[in-house]
Amino acid sequence: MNHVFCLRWGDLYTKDYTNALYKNLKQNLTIDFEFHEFTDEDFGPEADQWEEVSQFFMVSRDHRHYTFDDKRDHGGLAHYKKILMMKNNFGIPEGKFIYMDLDVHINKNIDWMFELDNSKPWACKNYWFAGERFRKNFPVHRSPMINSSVLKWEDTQLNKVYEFTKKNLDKVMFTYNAIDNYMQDQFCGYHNGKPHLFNFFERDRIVNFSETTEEQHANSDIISFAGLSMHEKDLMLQSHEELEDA
Amino acid sequence: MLNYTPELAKDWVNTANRIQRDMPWRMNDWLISINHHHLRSKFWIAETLENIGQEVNDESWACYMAAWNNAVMLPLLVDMGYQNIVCLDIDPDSKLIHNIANKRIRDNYHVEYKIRDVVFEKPDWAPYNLIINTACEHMLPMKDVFADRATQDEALFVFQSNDMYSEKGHINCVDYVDELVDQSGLSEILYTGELQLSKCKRFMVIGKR
Repeated sequence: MNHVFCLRWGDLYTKDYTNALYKNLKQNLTIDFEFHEFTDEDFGPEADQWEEVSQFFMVSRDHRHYTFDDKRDHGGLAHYKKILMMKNNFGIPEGKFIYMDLDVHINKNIDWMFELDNSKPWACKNYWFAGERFRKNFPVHRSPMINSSVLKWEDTQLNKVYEFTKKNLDKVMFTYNAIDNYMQDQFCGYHNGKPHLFNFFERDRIVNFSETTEEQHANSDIISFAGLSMHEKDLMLQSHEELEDA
Repeated sequence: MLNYTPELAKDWVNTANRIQRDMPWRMNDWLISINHHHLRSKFWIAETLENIGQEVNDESWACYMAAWNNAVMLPLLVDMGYQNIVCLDIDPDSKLIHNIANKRIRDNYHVEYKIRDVVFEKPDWAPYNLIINTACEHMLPMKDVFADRATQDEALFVFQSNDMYSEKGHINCVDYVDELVDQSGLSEILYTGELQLSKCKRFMVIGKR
């Protein structure tokens, strides 16, 4: 069975985003799939434990000297709930899975995603960071090459990310503020020669709105709005809905 | 101590030229790594170790964690008498810079530079008589990094950190040297001190586990 997951925790994103994503999927996936939205209550008691550790390192750390922006750089592993998803796919042990952030928009048919080879999980690559930006920011955990806005995997292929994180939770939460930097360092082998856990989606299939040109947006299959403010994302959502209604 | 000889001047200028040509985005990093603050901080280590009276012989091994561009510490370690030195860092570009800057030393001494994540990987710490980390502000407390890891009973540990919270990547700054002592996990403290630099205070603890 084919599954598409989205996660919505806290109150940053409204249900409108989930509804828009589902509508968007129905327009661009012609093969059968089940759509699942998981919210706060679906993560179980383990999420409370992880949240406590995250808060300890991100919020409770001595921040007398940090500005708000700095604070975001100091541990806590934001978006760790994606890793809880990787534990056992919320109790669905078998199948093909796609995960999408709520701030993505699908432009074209994406049946190909469910037909990708299953040797490894798939993730987006931030091709626009390649070269100077990536190498300059690598030591300070910024501008990672991997991007988890859209993921594709089969069965429990991602479980090893969850298991490693669980085993090293304090270290991970202390060291990393963002899941993509974490996954790059520990699962993509740039610095240590370890084999990559992920394959990367083909270039220009999935692009970031802020980092690519209008032509690339138009040619892409999926656009991620990561990096925009919530106000800008709300406007994007609204304009897509208006275009579809027109 | 480090003498600014014509050979060293040539090494540093050659390194700057290569960085300018091949990875200009690292030029600022390079300049920081040879600025007066970094020299003072590294000289502080050499002077203090000399005062402590560490014994170094042909068989002594030193490990320099988070070695970065390694412009100053490696020549100082050689000057202290270390002929076997292992440098560790997470960043492959730093190794490239080290290779250029320290070619003369690499030709004459046993110097290894390994790309290692000392927090998540488990390097073998047992061979080293001296372990230096001048970038504790970048990582987990040292007591956690070395927890359950074998080291020599008499190994000396040198840890430096600072209170420069504004720098990206400084995830574990301290305000007082006592905090660094607490984080060090060292049981025998031989030296603690602080050094006022123009933009921050640098702290140092030296001791044994």
